[in-house]
Amino acid sequence: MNLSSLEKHDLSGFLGVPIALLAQVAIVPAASIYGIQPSLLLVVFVLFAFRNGALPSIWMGFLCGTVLDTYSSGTAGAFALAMTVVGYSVGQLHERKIHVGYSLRVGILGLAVLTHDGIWHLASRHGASHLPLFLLRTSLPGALYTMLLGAIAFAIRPPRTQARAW
Amino acid sequence: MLILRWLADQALRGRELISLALTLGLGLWISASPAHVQKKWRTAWTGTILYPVQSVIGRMQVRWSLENELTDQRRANARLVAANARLSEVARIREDLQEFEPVRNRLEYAVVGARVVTRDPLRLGGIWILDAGTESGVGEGMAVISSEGLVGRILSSSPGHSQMQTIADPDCRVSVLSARSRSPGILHSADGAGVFVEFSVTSDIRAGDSLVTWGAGGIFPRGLPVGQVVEVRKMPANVLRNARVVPFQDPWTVRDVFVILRPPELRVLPDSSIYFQATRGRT
Repeated sequence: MNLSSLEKHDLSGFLGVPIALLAQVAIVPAASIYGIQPSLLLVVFVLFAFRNGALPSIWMGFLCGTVLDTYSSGTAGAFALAMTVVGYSVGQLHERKIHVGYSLRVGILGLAVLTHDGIWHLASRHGASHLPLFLLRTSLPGALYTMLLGAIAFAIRPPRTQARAW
Repeated sequence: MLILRWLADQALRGRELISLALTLGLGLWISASPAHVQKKWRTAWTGTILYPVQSVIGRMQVRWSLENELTDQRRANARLVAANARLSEVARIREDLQEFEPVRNRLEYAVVGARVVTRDPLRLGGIWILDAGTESGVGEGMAVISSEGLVGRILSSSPGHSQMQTIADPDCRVSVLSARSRSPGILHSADGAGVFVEFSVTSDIRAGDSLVTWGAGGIFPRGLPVGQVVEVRKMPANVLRNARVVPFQDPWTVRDVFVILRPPELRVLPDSSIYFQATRGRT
């Protein structure tokens, strides 16, 4: 990937995701409400995927997931898998190809959180039978909180292109 | 052209799929590995690739903490400098008081200390503001001195502050005597810059004489040191003489003064209306 191709992508986004990763660990716990935390990392990461497409998102997700795996006490590789899948999936909706409306972007963010948590749950071998309860009790409140955060972030950073909507 | 573009898209898409397969494979392999392999992987990952990041973050944290500490130290230093300045001021006031102690013992009246708050920065004369007022007993017409000599008199006083007229003010007149010959003269300042004494040709006042207050007029107590005659000049009419006087208390350097708590005595001539009438009821 040469410089010109790098310039096609949002360079600030490449730094934004690692910074969001640090903020997720250092700052976000302070914004916890009744133990529910938003995922600032996923907000920035989904925004990154919308802007840069699937390929950069796959690798960015894998790298960030690997870092999370390194410092987490659970099964190694679970975060890497989850972030990679989310990156690839959301990257299919690259804003240069498809225009996704504001509310749909927020909805996709919520789905991304649920997908991420679901894959992490399965990869961590916590059992498929507990997955619905986990998604309902733990993941869904966090997803709603994250969507709230994402609604603000997406309003601040609207899509750069005006591709035809669905 | 379209074919080329289609091929490029396919290549890009293929690259995506290869990347996805590679990362998913790695992720699955790591997650499916036994615990000891995962531990080794974590150790290797932390010790090699993440070590520079951790090192940089650690150094940044050290730098931030040092900067915060430096800021705290600067604040503490500023506080100490301020405290030092205050203590130096207290020490200086104490020295002034010690210097004034012998003078006070010779005075018949009580005195109260005051600080010069404002004064004319361009000339000696004028009106100065002192930080002692009626609550300290300071009243109109009282003499103001320092440990060196006469400084001026109180023009008016209010709660918390008072106005003082210096002996170098053009509107101020002080009756003085030569300490050597007891010859009288009138101390005045024509322009608020220099101080002069005017005396009769019959008065025996020479250069080098020390001047003290006479006490005439009742404003200044008798015997307060005023200044030294440095040069006597003849006037054209040969009736009066004029001499330049250097005040014992340099007006430029005085900061702390003492007000003699003594109301002016009545020295009213029957046809005069400009003198003080402090002894009310006796007029």
